[in-house]
Amino acid sequence: MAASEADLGRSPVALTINGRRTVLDAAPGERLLDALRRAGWLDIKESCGEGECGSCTVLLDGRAVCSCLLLAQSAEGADVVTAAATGHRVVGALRRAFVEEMGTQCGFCTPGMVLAAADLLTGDGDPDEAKIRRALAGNLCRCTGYHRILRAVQRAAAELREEVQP
Amino acid sequence: MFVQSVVRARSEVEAAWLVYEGKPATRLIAGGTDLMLQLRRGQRQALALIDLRRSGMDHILENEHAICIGATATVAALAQHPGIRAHFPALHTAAATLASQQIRNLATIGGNICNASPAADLVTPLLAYDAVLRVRRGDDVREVPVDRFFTGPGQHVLTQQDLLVEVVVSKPLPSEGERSRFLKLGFRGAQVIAVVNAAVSLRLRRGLVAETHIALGAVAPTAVRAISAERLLRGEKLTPEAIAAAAEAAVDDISPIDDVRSTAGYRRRVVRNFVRLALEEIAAQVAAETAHGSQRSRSRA
Ligand SMILES: Cc1cc2nc3c(=O)[nH]c(=O)nc-3n(C[C@H](O)[C@H](O)[C@H](O)COP(=O)(O)OP(=O)(O)OC[C@H]3O[C@@H](n4cnc5c(N)ncnc54)[C@H](O)[C@@H]3O)c2cc1C
Repeated sequence: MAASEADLGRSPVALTINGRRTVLDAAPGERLLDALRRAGWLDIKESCGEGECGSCTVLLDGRAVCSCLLLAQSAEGADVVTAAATGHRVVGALRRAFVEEMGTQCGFCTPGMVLAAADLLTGDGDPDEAKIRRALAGNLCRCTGYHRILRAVQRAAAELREEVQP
Repeated sequence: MFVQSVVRARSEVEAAWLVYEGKPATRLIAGGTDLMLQLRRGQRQALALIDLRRSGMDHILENEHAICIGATATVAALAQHPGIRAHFPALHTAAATLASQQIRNLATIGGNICNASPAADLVTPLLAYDAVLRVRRGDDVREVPVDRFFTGPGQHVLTQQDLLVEVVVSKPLPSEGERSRFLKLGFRGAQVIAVVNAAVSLRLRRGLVAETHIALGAVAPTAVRAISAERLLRGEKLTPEAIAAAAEAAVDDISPIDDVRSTAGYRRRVVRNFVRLALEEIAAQVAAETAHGSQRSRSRA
Protein backbone atom coordinates (compact mmCIF):
# COMPACT_ATOMS: atom_id res chain seq x y z
CA MET A 1 0.00 0.00 0.00
CA ALA A 2 2.74 2.42 0.96
CA ALA A 3 4.37 2.35 -2.47
CA SER A 4 1.34 3.36 -4.51
CA GLU A 5 0.16 5.81 -1.92
CA ALA A 6 3.53 7.52 -1.85
CA ASP A 7 3.28 8.04 -5.62
CA LEU A 8 0.55 10.57 -5.03
CA GLY A 9 2.44 13.86 -4.95
CA ARG A 10 4.01 14.50 -1.61
CA SER A 11 3.86 17.94 -0.17
CA PRO A 12 6.08 19.67 2.37
CA VAL A 13 5.14 19.70 6.05
CA ALA A 14 7.10 22.22 8.11
CA LEU A 15 7.55 21.32 11.76
CA THR A 16 10.09 21.19 14.56
CA ILE A 17 11.70 17.84 15.41
CA ASN A 18 13.78 17.66 18.57
CA GLY A 19 14.30 21.40 18.52
CA ARG A 20 15.32 21.62 14.86
CA ARG A 21 13.12 23.15 12.19
CA THR A 22 12.54 20.55 9.53
CA VAL A 23 10.48 20.03 6.43
CA LEU A 24 9.09 16.54 5.89
CA ASP A 25 7.71 15.38 2.58
CA ALA A 26 4.46 13.57 3.10
CA ALA A 27 1.78 12.07 0.88
CA PRO A 28 -1.77 13.20 1.74
CA GLY A 29 -2.91 10.08 3.59
CA GLU A 30 0.47 9.24 5.05
CA ARG A 31 0.99 8.65 8.77
CA LEU A 32 3.40 10.82 10.73
CA LEU A 33 5.14 7.57 11.72
CA ASP A 34 6.08 6.80 8.09
CA ALA A 35 7.16 10.31 7.23
CA LEU A 36 9.39 10.51 10.31
CA ARG A 37 11.03 7.14 9.75
CA ARG A 38 11.66 7.96 6.09
CA ALA A 39 13.36 11.15 7.26
CA GLY A 40 15.70 9.02 9.37
CA TRP A 41 14.08 9.10 12.80
CA LEU A 42 14.44 5.38 13.28
CA ASP A 43 14.12 5.59 17.07
CA ILE A 44 10.36 5.71 16.43
CA LYS A 45 9.21 2.09 16.14
CA GLU A 46 6.19 0.48 14.59
CA SER A 47 4.74 -2.64 16.19
CA CYS A 48 0.97 -2.92 15.98
CA GLY A 49 0.24 0.12 13.83
CA GLU A 50 -3.17 0.35 15.53
CA GLY A 51 -2.65 2.53 18.59
CA GLU A 52 -2.57 -0.43 20.97
CA CYS A 53 1.13 -0.85 21.76
CA GLY A 54 2.66 2.62 22.09
CA SER A 55 5.92 1.82 20.24
CA CYS A 56 5.44 4.71 17.83
CA THR A 57 4.78 7.30 20.54
CA VAL A 58 6.13 10.83 19.99
CA LEU A 59 5.53 14.01 21.95
CA LEU A 60 3.36 16.31 19.87
CA ASP A 61 3.33 19.81 21.35
CA GLY A 62 4.36 18.23 24.64
CA ARG A 63 1.79 15.44 24.78
CA ALA A 64 2.38 11.76 24.02
CA VAL A 65 0.50 10.54 20.95
CA CYS A 66 0.63 7.51 18.68
CA SER A 67 2.32 8.61 15.47
CA CYS A 68 0.61 5.71 13.65
CA LEU A 69 -2.77 7.41 14.10
CA LEU A 70 -1.78 10.90 13.08
CA LEU A 71 -1.66 12.25 9.54
CA ALA A 72 1.77 13.68 8.78
CA GLN A 73 -0.03 16.63 7.21
CA SER A 74 -1.81 17.31 10.50
CA ALA A 75 1.53 17.84 12.21
CA GLU A 76 2.23 21.01 10.21
CA GLY A 77 3.65 23.62 12.58
CA ALA A 78 3.88 21.16 15.48
CA ASP A 79 6.71 20.62 17.92
CA VAL A 80 7.67 16.94 17.78
CA VAL A 81 9.97 15.31 20.31
CA THR A 82 11.33 11.77 20.01
CA ALA A 83 13.22 9.64 22.50
CA ALA A 84 16.47 10.62 20.77
CA ALA A 85 16.01 14.29 21.69
CA THR A 86 19.08 15.94 23.10
CA GLY A 87 18.68 18.91 25.39
CA HIS A 88 15.25 17.79 26.62
CA ARG A 89 15.51 17.66 30.40
CA VAL A 90 12.77 15.14 31.14
CA VAL A 91 13.48 12.85 28.19
CA GLY A 92 17.21 12.92 29.02
CA ALA A 93 16.62 12.00 32.66
CA LEU A 94 14.32 9.16 31.66
CA ARG A 95 16.79 7.79 29.12
CA ARG A 96 19.55 7.70 31.77
CA ALA A 97 17.24 6.12 34.33
CA PHE A 98 16.14 3.37 31.91
CA VAL A 99 19.81 2.46 31.43
CA GLU A 100 20.67 2.63 35.12
CA GLU A 101 17.65 0.57 36.22
CA MET A 102 17.97 -1.80 33.24
CA GLY A 103 14.43 -0.88 32.27
CA THR A 104 15.03 -2.24 28.79
CA GLN A 105 15.75 -5.65 27.30
CA CYS A 106 15.11 -5.97 23.58
CA GLY A 107 14.58 -2.22 23.51
CA PHE A 108 11.81 -2.05 20.95
CA CYS A 109 9.24 -0.56 23.33
CA THR A 110 11.72 1.71 25.12
CA PRO A 111 11.41 4.92 23.08
CA GLY A 112 7.62 4.81 23.48
CA MET A 113 7.91 4.08 27.21
CA VAL A 114 10.30 7.01 27.66
CA LEU A 115 7.96 9.39 25.89
CA ALA A 116 4.78 8.22 27.63
CA ALA A 117 6.63 8.68 30.91
CA ALA A 118 7.83 12.12 29.78
CA ASP A 119 4.21 13.18 29.21
CA LEU A 120 3.44 12.09 32.78
CA LEU A 121 6.47 13.65 34.48
CA THR A 122 5.99 16.95 32.69
CA GLY A 123 2.62 17.36 34.40
CA ASP A 124 3.31 15.52 37.67
CA GLY A 125 6.77 15.52 39.24
CA ASP A 126 5.94 13.01 41.96
CA PRO A 127 3.50 10.39 40.66
CA ASP A 128 2.70 7.33 42.77
CA GLU A 129 3.00 3.84 41.33
CA ALA A 130 -0.66 3.65 40.32
CA LYS A 131 -0.31 6.87 38.32
CA ILE A 132 2.79 5.61 36.56
CA ARG A 133 1.06 2.35 35.67
CA ARG A 134 -1.90 4.28 34.31
CA ALA A 135 0.33 6.58 32.26
CA LEU A 136 2.10 3.59 30.72
CA ALA A 137 -1.06 1.54 30.13
CA GLY A 138 -0.84 2.26 26.41
CA ASN A 139 2.68 0.83 26.08
CA LEU A 140 3.28 -2.89 25.78
CA CYS A 141 6.56 -4.55 26.78
CA ARG A 142 6.95 -8.28 26.23
CA CYS A 143 10.34 -8.63 27.97
CA THR A 144 10.68 -6.87 31.28
CA GLY A 145 7.45 -7.55 33.15
CA TYR A 146 7.32 -3.76 33.64
CA HIS A 147 8.90 -3.83 37.07
CA ARG A 148 12.20 -2.23 36.09
CA ILE A 149 10.40 0.19 33.84
CA LEU A 150 8.43 1.43 36.84
CA ARG A 151 11.63 1.78 38.83
CA ALA A 152 13.25 3.72 35.99
CA VAL A 153 10.38 6.19 35.89
CA GLN A 154 10.48 6.60 39.68
CA ARG A 155 14.23 7.16 39.54
CA ALA A 156 13.95 9.76 36.80
CA ALA A 157 11.20 11.54 38.73
CA ALA A 158 13.37 11.63 41.86
CA GLU A 159 16.38 12.95 39.92
CA LEU A 160 14.31 15.65 38.28
CA ARG A 161 12.95 16.71 41.67
CA GLU A 162 16.48 16.96 43.09
CA GLU A 163 17.62 19.05 40.13
CA VAL A 164 14.87 21.56 40.81
CA GLN A 165 15.74 21.91 44.48
CA PRO A 166 18.90 23.98 45.09
CA MET B 1 -8.91 4.40 -2.96
CA PHE B 2 -6.21 6.60 -1.48
CA VAL B 3 -6.51 9.93 0.18
CA GLN B 4 -5.48 12.48 -2.43
CA SER B 5 -5.77 15.69 -0.50
CA VAL B 6 -5.91 17.02 3.03
CA VAL B 7 -7.33 20.46 3.75
CA ARG B 8 -6.67 21.97 7.14
CA ALA B 9 -9.59 24.01 8.42
CA ARG B 10 -8.43 27.08 10.36
CA SER B 11 -11.71 28.01 12.01
CA GLU B 12 -15.18 26.68 12.71
CA VAL B 13 -16.61 28.80 9.90
CA GLU B 14 -14.04 27.53 7.42
CA ALA B 15 -14.62 23.93 8.55
CA ALA B 16 -18.39 24.35 8.20
CA TRP B 17 -18.13 25.69 4.64
CA LEU B 18 -15.52 23.13 3.58
CA VAL B 19 -17.91 20.40 4.73
CA TYR B 20 -20.91 22.09 3.15
CA GLU B 21 -19.17 22.34 -0.21
CA GLY B 22 -17.28 19.06 0.08
CA LYS B 23 -17.42 16.63 -2.81
CA PRO B 24 -18.59 13.07 -2.26
CA ALA B 25 -15.85 10.92 -0.73
CA THR B 26 -14.76 13.83 1.45
CA ARG B 27 -14.48 13.06 5.15
CA LEU B 28 -13.77 14.94 8.32
CA ILE B 29 -10.84 13.90 10.44
CA ALA B 30 -10.36 15.07 14.02
CA GLY B 31 -8.10 12.95 16.24
CA GLY B 32 -7.97 10.23 13.60
CA THR B 33 -7.99 7.45 16.20
CA ASP B 34 -11.00 5.79 14.61
CA LEU B 35 -10.77 7.02 11.03
CA MET B 36 -7.06 6.35 10.35
CA LEU B 37 -7.53 2.66 11.14
CA GLN B 38 -10.81 2.43 9.22
CA LEU B 39 -9.12 3.93 6.15
CA ARG B 40 -6.15 1.57 6.40
CA ARG B 41 -8.40 -1.46 6.84
CA GLY B 42 -10.55 -0.39 3.92
CA GLN B 43 -13.64 -0.14 6.15
CA ARG B 44 -14.10 3.49 5.15
CA GLN B 45 -13.04 5.28 1.99
CA ALA B 46 -12.03 8.88 1.42
CA LEU B 47 -10.47 10.80 -1.47
CA ALA B 48 -10.21 14.02 0.49
CA LEU B 49 -9.93 14.78 4.18
CA ILE B 50 -10.88 17.94 6.03
CA ASP B 51 -8.59 18.16 9.03
CA LEU B 52 -10.16 19.70 12.14
CA ARG B 53 -7.07 19.62 14.40
CA ARG B 54 -6.41 23.33 14.06
CA SER B 55 -9.98 24.49 13.57
CA GLY B 56 -10.11 26.13 17.01
CA MET B 57 -13.19 24.18 18.07
CA ASP B 58 -11.50 22.70 21.14
CA HIS B 59 -12.90 25.03 23.81
CA ILE B 60 -14.44 23.85 27.06
CA LEU B 61 -16.45 26.79 28.41
CA GLU B 62 -18.25 26.74 31.70
CA ASN B 63 -20.94 29.15 32.81
CA GLU B 64 -23.51 29.13 35.57
CA HIS B 65 -25.92 26.89 33.67
CA ALA B 66 -23.89 24.63 31.42
CA ILE B 67 -20.58 23.40 30.14
CA CYS B 68 -20.09 23.83 26.38
CA ILE B 69 -17.55 21.45 24.91
CA GLY B 70 -16.15 22.14 21.44
CA ALA B 71 -16.28 19.14 19.10
CA THR B 72 -12.49 18.88 18.86
CA ALA B 73 -11.82 19.12 22.60
CA THR B 74 -9.67 16.09 23.36
CA VAL B 75 -10.64 13.32 25.72
CA ALA B 76 -7.54 14.25 27.76
CA ALA B 77 -8.79 17.83 28.11
CA LEU B 78 -12.19 16.56 29.26
CA ALA B 79 -10.56 14.31 31.84
CA GLN B 80 -8.60 17.26 33.24
CA HIS B 81 -11.41 19.79 33.37
CA PRO B 82 -12.37 20.60 36.98
CA GLY B 83 -15.92 21.68 36.09
CA ILE B 84 -16.64 18.42 34.28
CA ARG B 85 -15.24 16.51 37.23
CA ALA B 86 -17.40 18.44 39.70
CA HIS B 87 -20.69 18.54 37.81
CA PHE B 88 -20.54 15.53 35.48
CA PRO B 89 -18.56 12.82 37.27
CA ALA B 90 -19.75 10.07 34.93
CA LEU B 91 -18.39 11.99 31.92
CA HIS B 92 -15.17 12.64 33.80
CA THR B 93 -14.68 8.96 34.63
CA ALA B 94 -15.51 7.86 31.08
CA ALA B 95 -12.94 10.30 29.66
CA ALA B 96 -10.27 9.51 32.24
CA THR B 97 -10.49 5.76 31.62
CA LEU B 98 -10.91 5.81 27.83
CA ALA B 99 -8.13 3.97 25.97
CA SER B 100 -4.64 5.21 26.96
CA GLN B 101 -2.93 8.55 27.45
CA GLN B 102 -1.60 8.50 23.87
CA ILE B 103 -5.11 7.98 22.51
CA ARG B 104 -6.78 10.44 24.92
CA ASN B 105 -4.34 13.14 23.77
CA LEU B 106 -5.55 12.73 20.17
CA ALA B 107 -9.14 11.49 20.45
CA THR B 108 -11.89 14.12 20.43
CA ILE B 109 -15.40 14.15 21.85
CA GLY B 110 -16.78 14.91 18.38
CA GLY B 111 -15.01 11.87 16.93
CA ASN B 112 -16.26 9.64 19.71
CA ILE B 113 -19.84 10.75 19.01
CA CYS B 114 -19.71 10.83 15.21
CA ASN B 115 -18.00 7.47 14.85
CA ALA B 116 -21.30 6.27 16.34
CA SER B 117 -19.99 3.08 17.89
CA PRO B 118 -22.61 1.52 20.20
CA ALA B 119 -19.72 1.09 22.67
CA ALA B 120 -18.44 4.69 22.60
CA ASP B 121 -17.57 5.55 26.20
CA LEU B 122 -18.48 9.24 26.17
CA VAL B 123 -21.92 8.64 24.70
CA THR B 124 -23.53 6.86 27.66
CA PRO B 125 -22.71 9.73 30.06
CA LEU B 126 -23.96 12.24 27.48
CA LEU B 127 -27.25 10.29 27.34
CA ALA B 128 -27.43 10.18 31.13
CA TYR B 129 -27.00 13.98 31.24
CA ASP B 130 -29.38 14.78 28.34
CA ALA B 131 -26.65 16.51 26.35
CA VAL B 132 -27.54 18.61 23.33
CA LEU B 133 -25.44 18.48 20.16
CA ARG B 134 -25.02 21.65 18.13
CA VAL B 135 -24.78 20.87 14.44
CA ARG B 136 -23.82 23.37 11.78
CA ARG B 137 -24.67 23.36 8.08
CA GLY B 138 -23.11 26.33 6.34
CA ASP B 139 -24.23 29.22 8.53
CA ASP B 140 -27.23 27.46 10.10
CA VAL B 141 -26.91 25.88 13.50
CA ARG B 142 -29.43 23.39 14.85
CA GLU B 143 -29.62 21.51 18.11
CA VAL B 144 -30.08 17.77 18.28
CA PRO B 145 -30.69 16.04 21.62
CA VAL B 146 -28.18 13.24 21.95
CA ASP B 147 -30.94 10.64 22.32
CA ARG B 148 -32.12 11.49 18.80
CA PHE B 149 -28.69 11.53 17.19
CA PHE B 150 -27.90 7.85 16.58
CA THR B 151 -29.78 5.70 14.09
CA GLY B 152 -27.72 2.48 14.14
CA PRO B 153 -24.20 1.12 14.51
CA GLY B 154 -21.92 3.67 12.83
CA GLN B 155 -24.93 5.75 11.81
CA HIS B 156 -26.35 9.07 12.88
CA VAL B 157 -28.54 11.89 11.62
CA LEU B 158 -25.75 14.07 10.19
CA THR B 159 -25.58 14.45 6.43
CA GLN B 160 -22.43 14.90 4.33
CA GLN B 161 -22.89 18.66 4.73
CA ASP B 162 -23.14 18.76 8.51
CA LEU B 163 -20.48 19.52 11.07
CA LEU B 164 -20.81 18.77 14.77
CA VAL B 165 -19.52 21.92 16.47
CA GLU B 166 -20.37 21.70 20.15
CA VAL B 167 -21.76 19.52 22.91
CA VAL B 168 -23.79 21.29 25.60
CA VAL B 169 -24.40 19.67 28.99
CA SER B 170 -26.70 21.57 31.33
CA LYS B 171 -25.76 21.68 34.98
CA PRO B 172 -28.25 20.42 37.51
CA LEU B 173 -29.28 22.95 40.15
CA PRO B 174 -27.53 22.30 43.47
CA SER B 175 -31.00 21.85 45.00
CA GLU B 176 -31.71 18.99 42.57
CA GLY B 177 -29.07 16.92 44.33
CA GLU B 178 -27.93 15.04 41.26
CA ARG B 179 -25.53 12.11 41.59
CA SER B 180 -24.10 10.05 38.78
CA ARG B 181 -21.84 7.12 38.02
CA PHE B 182 -20.02 5.56 35.04
CA LEU B 183 -19.12 1.88 34.95
CA LYS B 184 -17.25 0.00 32.25
CA LEU B 185 -16.29 -3.62 31.76
CA GLY B 186 -13.41 -4.56 29.47
CA PHE B 187 -10.70 -7.21 29.28
CA ARG B 188 -8.25 -4.98 31.08
CA GLY B 189 -8.34 -1.73 32.99
CA ALA B 190 -7.19 0.36 30.04
CA GLN B 191 -7.01 0.45 26.26
CA VAL B 192 -10.17 -1.56 25.64
CA ILE B 193 -13.49 -1.14 23.92
CA ALA B 194 -16.26 -1.85 26.42
CA VAL B 195 -18.00 -5.20 26.71
CA VAL B 196 -20.67 -3.10 28.44
CA ASN B 197 -20.63 0.45 29.73
CA ALA B 198 -23.24 2.21 31.83
CA ALA B 199 -23.91 5.75 33.01
CA VAL B 200 -26.56 6.52 35.59
CA SER B 201 -27.71 9.94 36.78
CA LEU B 202 -30.25 10.32 39.56
CA ARG B 203 -31.97 13.19 41.36
CA LEU B 204 -33.62 12.81 44.74
CA ARG B 205 -36.29 15.08 46.19
CA ARG B 206 -37.22 14.55 49.85
CA GLY B 207 -35.79 11.05 49.76
CA LEU B 208 -37.66 10.02 46.60
CA VAL B 209 -36.27 9.56 43.10
CA ALA B 210 -37.39 12.66 41.21
CA GLU B 211 -35.60 11.80 37.96
CA THR B 212 -33.14 9.21 36.72
CA HIS B 213 -31.46 8.40 33.43
CA ILE B 214 -29.90 4.98 32.95
CA ALA B 215 -27.80 4.76 29.79
CA LEU B 216 -26.26 1.53 28.54
CA GLY B 217 -23.64 0.97 25.85
CA ALA B 218 -22.57 -2.02 23.72
CA VAL B 219 -25.86 -3.81 24.37
CA ALA B 220 -27.99 -2.60 21.43
CA PRO B 221 -27.45 -1.13 17.91
CA THR B 222 -26.94 2.27 19.58
CA ALA B 223 -26.38 3.27 23.17
CA VAL B 224 -29.82 3.11 24.83
CA ARG B 225 -31.73 4.36 27.84
CA ALA B 226 -33.24 1.73 30.13
CA ILE B 227 -36.65 3.37 30.02
CA SER B 228 -38.61 0.74 31.93
CA ALA B 229 -36.01 0.63 34.71
CA GLU B 230 -36.15 4.41 34.96
CA ARG B 231 -39.95 4.34 35.11
CA LEU B 232 -39.89 1.85 38.00
CA LEU B 233 -37.60 4.10 40.02
CA ARG B 234 -39.36 7.44 39.64
CA GLY B 235 -41.22 8.38 42.79
CA GLU B 236 -39.67 5.54 44.78
CA LYS B 237 -37.21 5.43 47.65
CA LEU B 238 -33.82 4.06 46.72
CA THR B 239 -34.32 0.83 48.67
CA PRO B 240 -32.55 -2.48 47.92
CA GLU B 241 -35.90 -3.80 46.61
CA ALA B 242 -36.41 -0.87 44.24
CA ILE B 243 -32.82 -1.18 43.04
CA ALA B 244 -33.19 -4.92 42.42
CA ALA B 245 -36.41 -4.38 40.47
CA ALA B 246 -34.82 -1.69 38.31
CA ALA B 247 -31.78 -3.87 37.59
CA GLU B 248 -34.09 -6.69 36.50
CA ALA B 249 -36.16 -4.38 34.31
CA ALA B 250 -33.09 -2.94 32.57
CA VAL B 251 -32.46 -6.34 30.96
CA ASP B 252 -35.71 -5.93 29.00
CA ASP B 253 -34.56 -2.56 27.67
CA ILE B 254 -31.57 -3.94 25.77
CA SER B 255 -31.00 -6.17 22.73
CA PRO B 256 -27.42 -7.42 23.01
CA ILE B 257 -25.72 -9.68 20.48
CA ASP B 258 -22.86 -12.19 20.49
CA ASP B 259 -19.71 -10.68 19.01
CA VAL B 260 -15.91 -10.80 19.27
CA ARG B 261 -15.94 -9.22 22.70
CA SER B 262 -18.69 -11.10 24.47
CA THR B 263 -21.99 -12.95 24.30
CA ALA B 264 -25.52 -11.61 24.55
CA GLY B 265 -26.17 -13.66 27.70
CA TYR B 266 -23.13 -12.34 29.51
CA ARG B 267 -23.97 -8.77 28.54
CA ARG B 268 -27.46 -9.19 30.06
CA ARG B 269 -25.88 -10.35 33.27
CA VAL B 270 -23.43 -7.46 33.33
CA VAL B 271 -26.22 -4.94 32.68
CA ARG B 272 -28.22 -6.32 35.60
CA ASN B 273 -25.16 -6.06 37.87
CA PHE B 274 -24.05 -2.65 36.60
CA VAL B 275 -27.46 -1.05 37.10
CA ARG B 276 -27.63 -2.49 40.61
CA LEU B 277 -24.05 -1.47 41.41
CA ALA B 278 -24.42 2.08 40.11
CA LEU B 279 -27.65 2.60 42.05
CA GLU B 280 -26.17 1.05 45.20
CA GLU B 281 -23.16 3.34 44.95
CA ILE B 282 -25.42 6.35 44.56
CA ALA B 283 -27.54 5.22 47.53
CA ALA B 284 -24.38 4.81 49.62
CA GLN B 285 -23.19 8.26 48.58
CA VAL B 286 -26.52 9.78 49.58
CA ALA B 287 -26.41 7.98 52.94
CA ALA B 288 -22.85 9.14 53.59
CA GLU B 289 -23.68 12.73 52.67
CA THR B 290 -26.77 12.71 54.85
CA ALA B 291 -24.81 11.36 57.83
CA HIS B 292 -22.09 13.93 57.21
CA GLY B 293 -24.65 16.72 56.85
CA SER B 294 -26.49 15.90 60.09
CA GLN B 295 -23.17 15.60 61.90
CA ARG B 296 -22.22 19.04 60.66
CA SER B 297 -25.48 20.64 61.71
CA ARG B 298 -25.19 18.95 65.11
CA SER B 299 -21.64 20.23 65.68
CA ARG B 300 -22.74 23.70 64.62
CA ALA B 301 -25.60 23.67 67.12
C1 LIG C 1 -6.13 1.67 20.77
C2 LIG C 1 -7.49 2.33 20.79
C3 LIG C 1 -8.25 2.27 21.95
C4 LIG C 1 -9.51 2.88 22.00
N1 LIG C 1 -10.22 2.80 23.15
C5 LIG C 1 -11.44 3.38 23.23
C6 LIG C 1 -12.20 3.33 24.42
O1 LIG C 1 -11.75 2.82 25.45
N2 LIG C 1 -13.43 3.90 24.43
C7 LIG C 1 -13.95 4.52 23.34
O2 LIG C 1 -15.07 5.02 23.39
N3 LIG C 1 -13.24 4.58 22.17
C8 LIG C 1 -12.02 4.03 22.10
N4 LIG C 1 -11.30 4.10 20.92
C9 LIG C 1 -11.91 4.73 19.74
C10 LIG C 1 -11.54 6.21 19.52
O3 LIG C 1 -10.32 6.53 20.12
C11 LIG C 1 -12.62 7.18 20.04
O4 LIG C 1 -13.86 6.86 19.47
C12 LIG C 1 -12.27 8.64 19.73
O5 LIG C 1 -13.00 9.50 20.60
C13 LIG C 1 -12.52 9.08 18.30
O6 LIG C 1 -12.23 10.47 18.17
P1 LIG C 1 -11.27 11.02 17.00
O7 LIG C 1 -11.20 12.48 17.18
O8 LIG C 1 -9.98 10.29 16.99
O9 LIG C 1 -12.15 10.62 15.75
P2 LIG C 1 -11.77 10.55 14.19
O10 LIG C 1 -11.18 9.21 13.92
O11 LIG C 1 -11.02 11.73 13.77
O12 LIG C 1 -13.24 10.62 13.60
C14 LIG C 1 -14.21 9.60 13.81
C15 LIG C 1 -15.42 9.84 12.92
O13 LIG C 1 -16.12 11.01 13.31
C16 LIG C 1 -16.22 11.94 12.24
N5 LIG C 1 -16.07 13.26 12.84
C17 LIG C 1 -15.07 13.68 13.67
N6 LIG C 1 -15.29 14.93 14.09
C18 LIG C 1 -16.47 15.34 13.53
C19 LIG C 1 -17.25 16.54 13.60
N7 LIG C 1 -16.86 17.59 14.35
N8 LIG C 1 -18.41 16.61 12.92
C20 LIG C 1 -18.82 15.55 12.16
N9 LIG C 1 -18.14 14.39 12.06
C21 LIG C 1 -16.97 14.28 12.74
C22 LIG C 1 -15.12 11.56 11.28
O14 LIG C 1 -15.42 11.92 9.96
C23 LIG C 1 -15.05 10.06 11.46
O15 LIG C 1 -16.01 9.41 10.68
C24 LIG C 1 -10.02 3.53 20.86
C25 LIG C 1 -9.24 3.60 19.70
C26 LIG C 1 -7.99 3.02 19.66
C27 LIG C 1 -7.17 3.12 18.41
